[in-house]
Amino acid sequence: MSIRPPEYDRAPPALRPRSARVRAIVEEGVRERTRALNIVLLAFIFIVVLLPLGFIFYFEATFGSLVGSAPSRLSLLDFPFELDFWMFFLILLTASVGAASVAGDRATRALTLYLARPITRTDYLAAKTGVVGIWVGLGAILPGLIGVVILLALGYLSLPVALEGAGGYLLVGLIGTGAFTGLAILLSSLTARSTVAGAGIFGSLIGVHAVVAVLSGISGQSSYLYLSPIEDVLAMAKGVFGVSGNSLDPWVAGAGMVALAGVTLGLAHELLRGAEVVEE
Amino acid sequence: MIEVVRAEAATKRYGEVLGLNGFSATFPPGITGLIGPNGAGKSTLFRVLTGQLSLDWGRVAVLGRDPWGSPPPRGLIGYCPEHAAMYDGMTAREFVRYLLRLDGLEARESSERAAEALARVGLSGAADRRLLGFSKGMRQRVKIAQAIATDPQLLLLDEPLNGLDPLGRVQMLALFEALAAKGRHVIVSSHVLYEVERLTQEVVLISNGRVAAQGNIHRLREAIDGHPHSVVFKTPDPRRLARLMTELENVTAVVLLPPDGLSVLTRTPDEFYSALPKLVVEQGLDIREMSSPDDNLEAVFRFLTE
Repeated sequence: MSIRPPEYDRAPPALRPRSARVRAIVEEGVRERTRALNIVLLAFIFIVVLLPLGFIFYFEATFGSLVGSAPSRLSLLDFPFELDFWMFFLILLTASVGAASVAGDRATRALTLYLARPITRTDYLAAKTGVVGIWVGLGAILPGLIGVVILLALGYLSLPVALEGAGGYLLVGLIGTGAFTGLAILLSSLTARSTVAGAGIFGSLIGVHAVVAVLSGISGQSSYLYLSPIEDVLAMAKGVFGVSGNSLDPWVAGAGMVALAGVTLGLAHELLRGAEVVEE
Repeated sequence: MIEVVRAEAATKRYGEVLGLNGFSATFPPGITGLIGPNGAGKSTLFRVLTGQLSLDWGRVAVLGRDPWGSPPPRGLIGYCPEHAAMYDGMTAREFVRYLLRLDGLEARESSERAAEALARVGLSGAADRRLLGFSKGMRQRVKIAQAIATDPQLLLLDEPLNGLDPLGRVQMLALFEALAAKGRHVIVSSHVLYEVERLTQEVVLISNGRVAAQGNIHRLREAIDGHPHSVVFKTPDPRRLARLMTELENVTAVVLLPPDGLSVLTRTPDEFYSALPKLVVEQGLDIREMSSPDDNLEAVFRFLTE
């Protein structure tokens, strides 16, 4: 049998590098999440409305008579971390966005379309981490940054404190985002059911927090609290913003979150490295 | 012979179930049909060839490369999976364009090629509609569009005609032929023998994860036709039909299937089918229904494997 070279009607396409393909997944993943109206609404209400308003009300209530006189105390910027509803929102956002990230592609068999293309499993995981990370990061970092800008504009903060505060929100937000995202990606890689993954993300963050709080209370040992990513975020925020009375070492808490991000993403990578597309 | 795909003792288990059971075959250039009944291992083979599944034993080479662990080079392979794997919130154009970007094409090039591919499968008019509202046939066309959009050297098409209307089937068969005429290799799976027969003479028959036969479809047909061929009749008077059938030289056995059925066995089906109309007309036979269980693939595979 003879074989002849294929004929082409048009020139072979210009091909972009591996990073461009990963970026394509991230872009589409972020865009795809915006089609989920519940997530968009949730994010909008908390990031753009409630939290910035919270900043204004808090400072107005505390320093109402001092408008324009710039109290300039960095520790005041720790207040959003003391708001339970912000943490609850972050956990809800992580569960909403992260649950379907890998599980959804397995359930719809869309994973087959990625793996049959020049996309490695590492590329795929990196892209999905990017998608979840961007959304969680929006919830973890943006409100603080918006709040600082508003407070600066209203004269509640001096520029150096505002800059320091923005840096603090960025640092705590990034590390917290890494830990929450890693956990979400790992749990989403374990199942093809998004609802199960979502419940797992929500349950593990809230559940672990509740358990260690009880353990710590019973034993009187605060070190149990290091096991809760929520407590770690709060401890780190206290450390960064210089709030006194921190029962945990902020550096240990920060290192714990970085380790959580690394371990969960590493495990997810191992899971996906050997992942096969079989009929569910 | 130059091989597009080579499989040697390829074995894949799903727990206790064998997806592939020592599958060994070579797929030559051009179009090759992969024929097998449902559950024979066709989709498993395709997933192995596209690097989605690893083998437990044996090896495969696709255009000389081991697909597991190393994604196919850009534009080399186009894959149309059997089951829908789509983002229903996207339009057909967005979906194909997105997958082209994953293939490494620039945004503008992706848009152009997506439009071309959708036009080739007859979906230009529906390109900007959401996939959610697409019929099974339209989804099938979208899947074919994304597979051909990069103009790949090798097309792996898993049951691509499923769900298509008769006109769509003709159009897609013509499309595959046109691609092959331009030097592309096509491996197309089906559980319907006659569909593949219209497309190629080169087939691999798969059954229970093994190769049942491979080669020219006409030679296989000759081999198949050599085995006793049964025809089942439904008639109000099966005893009279049985008596008449036994008088035909090419009939080897007749079995009554009460209350109104009759099974006839012949080793020369061509001669039998030639003689049958004359017999019906001359004897004024009232035959309500006629079928040949041996026409289905399972019977063919039973014959080839037993």
